[in-house]
Amino acid sequence: MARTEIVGLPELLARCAAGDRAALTEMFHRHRATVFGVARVLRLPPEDVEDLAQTTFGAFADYAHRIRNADALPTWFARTARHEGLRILRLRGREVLTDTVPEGSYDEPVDDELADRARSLRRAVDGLPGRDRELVVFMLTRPDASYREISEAIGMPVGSIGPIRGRAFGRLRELLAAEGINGALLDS
Amino acid sequence: MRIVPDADSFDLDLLGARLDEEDGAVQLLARIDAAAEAVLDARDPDAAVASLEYDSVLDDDWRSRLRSGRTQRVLAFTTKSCSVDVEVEVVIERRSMTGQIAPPAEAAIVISHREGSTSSAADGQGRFLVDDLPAGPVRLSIRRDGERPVETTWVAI
Repeated sequence: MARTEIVGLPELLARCAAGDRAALTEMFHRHRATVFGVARVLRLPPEDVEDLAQTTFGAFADYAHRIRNADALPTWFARTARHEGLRILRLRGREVLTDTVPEGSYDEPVDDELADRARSLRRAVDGLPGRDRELVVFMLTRPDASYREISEAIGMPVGSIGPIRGRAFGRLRELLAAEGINGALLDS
Repeated sequence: MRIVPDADSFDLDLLGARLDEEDGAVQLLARIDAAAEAVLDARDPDAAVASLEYDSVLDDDWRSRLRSGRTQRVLAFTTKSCSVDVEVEVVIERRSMTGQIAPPAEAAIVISHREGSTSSAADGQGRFLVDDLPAGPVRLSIRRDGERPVETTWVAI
């Protein structure tokens, strides 16, 4: 993919609004982890991840000229991706979320010790109750996300994120311990 | 005093990397990049954008009125110069679409989708019909004589 030189968001936004292809490519690249995070939170299967990306990025390409404040772009992508993700869930008749993971939705990693620990982490994360899981999944996908981005991406008030975050990671620690994992997970 | 464990006591980057391994994140991010390319390839910089103003999928009243087994979906796009109402029907794995342009006019219709594009035409009453579309994101392009081209936003069908 052609990448443009590193520029700040205001300049990138202005170039996108003018229809600059390289700038749009760069903008999409910078926000793809947000789209992926929302897809994970909503448990979209791979083919729906692609639909989510196309409708979210398509909306940006169509409306970039109307966005005035470049500082709002990260939250714009988080909000739009969630809106489009919920639309896709409804379209597929799967808007009722369950706590079971669809089997084989994602490609299996190679079977070695590292993969075993990754699977244990996945089980621990999926063992978290609904809102806790959504927050942890998004934070693991976008460790640098601001509270406002998290709020838009998972539909949680900003003021709830701090308290739920403390509780959720506490539970994750317990679930990881139950999987026999402590600090060792962090060693590669 | 009990110290509540917090995100700060985890290395989020490392935990995230482990989750990525389990989720096949590399393949999924490649799909996201492919979708980004598809958006760029299908753009007409001269076209007016018709926004999705109504989607029956997001309308609980409409959904509750639907009898079970009915699969129609109604979409309405508008821009300054025209509006386009579309009814989408699920035909097994494929989708068919009937549309109405207002004000009514003959128009060349091109629908971009995952497999490429499908062409059709609206008659003098502004009606058009397109069969055998793939599921997934679509965008309609509408060209009328003497008018600026119109493109709808992407929507998954």
